[in-house]
Amino acid sequence: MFLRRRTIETLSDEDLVVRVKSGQQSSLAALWDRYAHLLFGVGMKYLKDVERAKDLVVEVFASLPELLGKHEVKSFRPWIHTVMRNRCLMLLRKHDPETRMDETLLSAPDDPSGDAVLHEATLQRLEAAISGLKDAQQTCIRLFYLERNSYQQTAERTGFSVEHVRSHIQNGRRNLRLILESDVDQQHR
Amino acid sequence: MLTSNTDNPFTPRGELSREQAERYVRGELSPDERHDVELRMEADPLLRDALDGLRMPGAVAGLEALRTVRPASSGSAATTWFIAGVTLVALVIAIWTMQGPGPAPTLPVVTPTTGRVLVPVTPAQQAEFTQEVALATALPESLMSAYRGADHFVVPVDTAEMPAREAPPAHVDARPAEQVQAPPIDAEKPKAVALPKPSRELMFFFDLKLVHPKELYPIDPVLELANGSVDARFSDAEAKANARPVDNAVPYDRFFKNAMGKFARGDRQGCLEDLFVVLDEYPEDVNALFYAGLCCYDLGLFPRAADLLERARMHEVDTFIEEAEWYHALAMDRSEGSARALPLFEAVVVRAGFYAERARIRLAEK
Repeated sequence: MFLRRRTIETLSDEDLVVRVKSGQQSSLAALWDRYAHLLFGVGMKYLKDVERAKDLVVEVFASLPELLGKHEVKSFRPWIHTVMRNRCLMLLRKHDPETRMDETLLSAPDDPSGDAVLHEATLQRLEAAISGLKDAQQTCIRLFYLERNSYQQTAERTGFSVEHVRSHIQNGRRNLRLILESDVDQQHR
Repeated sequence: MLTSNTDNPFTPRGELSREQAERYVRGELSPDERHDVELRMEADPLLRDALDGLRMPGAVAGLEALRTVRPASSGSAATTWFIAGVTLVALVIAIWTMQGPGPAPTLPVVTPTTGRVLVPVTPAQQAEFTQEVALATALPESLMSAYRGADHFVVPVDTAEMPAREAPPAHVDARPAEQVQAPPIDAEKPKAVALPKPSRELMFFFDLKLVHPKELYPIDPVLELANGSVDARFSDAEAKANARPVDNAVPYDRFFKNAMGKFARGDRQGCLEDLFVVLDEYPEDVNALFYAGLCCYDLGLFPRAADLLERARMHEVDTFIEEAEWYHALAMDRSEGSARALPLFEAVVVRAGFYAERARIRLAEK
């Protein structure tokens, strides 16, 4: 039992998916341990209701073997995020078809695979790219990433609210990727 | 070139455990640890959504309930049903045998199928935790319009036409542009006035107490919305854009009615965003300071809550002093630790107000 659990715990998400497809209950439980609390958090963000969020997590996991049988899942983490998010939106619309939702909830999350350009850039290139951002984004990016301040500390040092800080960081990060990608394109020409 | 796992400032380090995530939500991490979690949030949309959701009131308690519905970890579904069946049969036989003559046999030990070690929680601990969550998320009683203990000169402005609690709107329709009937905007913002009065005129929105703006400002204040903000009259930014040109000035009471509606519906984040708009224009507005402090507290932003509630507590207009003292003490307890919070709880006891008994209990626990 001990050895088996250790083995399961060290498997990648994608390995566990293959095992779930072949009917291994223990792999489904391992995925639950990794993701149930995160999906519950997503449910809370959208539904703002503990019971509904909990029920939806259970529902998603109950349907997981069937869903995995239908879909070719290359990367489980973003896939399960999308599944949970869509289920939340469907539930909200079912509850009130005319509900207008916050744009931030409806917009698709950033694709983290696009971050490679950020992770591979040299510090000099990052510095140069950061200088090309708008003032507020530049300040928040520097304080958060380069000086390692938390959201709260960044908010206190800039006078922005925490929400504004997060917004500037996300927009700045997206713009930074664009700047770095355009640099790479120019180098290739 | 920097490698992807060493000194690139955009690359998160290490894995985030469930325990760390929960400690982050409860505000128990050091600034460095918080930054590590937030760095990971920026790189991981799932984690960002999840931690945003887990900060909502009741979410951490809900996580505990989630543990009880975890699927079994061993065997296939068929095996699980087989084990459950065998266990049930064994139980029936054991009970049947116990009812017959002779010494009662011991009940078979049922091995949990979860394979998970749960930390035992005593009923007393559970009750204490439940009470703490309820206290942290419940609407303070003295903020309700039904409470008249400390305020003996109360004019419920809004509730006069609204005897029952107003139900939150299912949705807001986009309406065509209409000119706001707001007073002309002075070039200079009205300054807050200090009035040494024992009682003040109040107004209530959704049963929530607010100081009437005429007690705070010499002329009726208005909120000038920035381009990025969406007036409560419009359902979203697009509807607002279609309805241009419009006056961006919104009367103070109308703006607060919208913000308090969000507070009453439990949308602390939405309410907080509105109140920050007020604080941008009127940094010492006691209504905004106090309710923004409560929102921050409920969202787990304890240092920011402590700061806002301290400013509300020390405000010249002392309408919220009792509530601000109590919640300031709670926020300090969470952010700075019990040593800093003890004298604050003692002050609440000395005041002998509505929160004195709760503060006494807190002190007895320390």
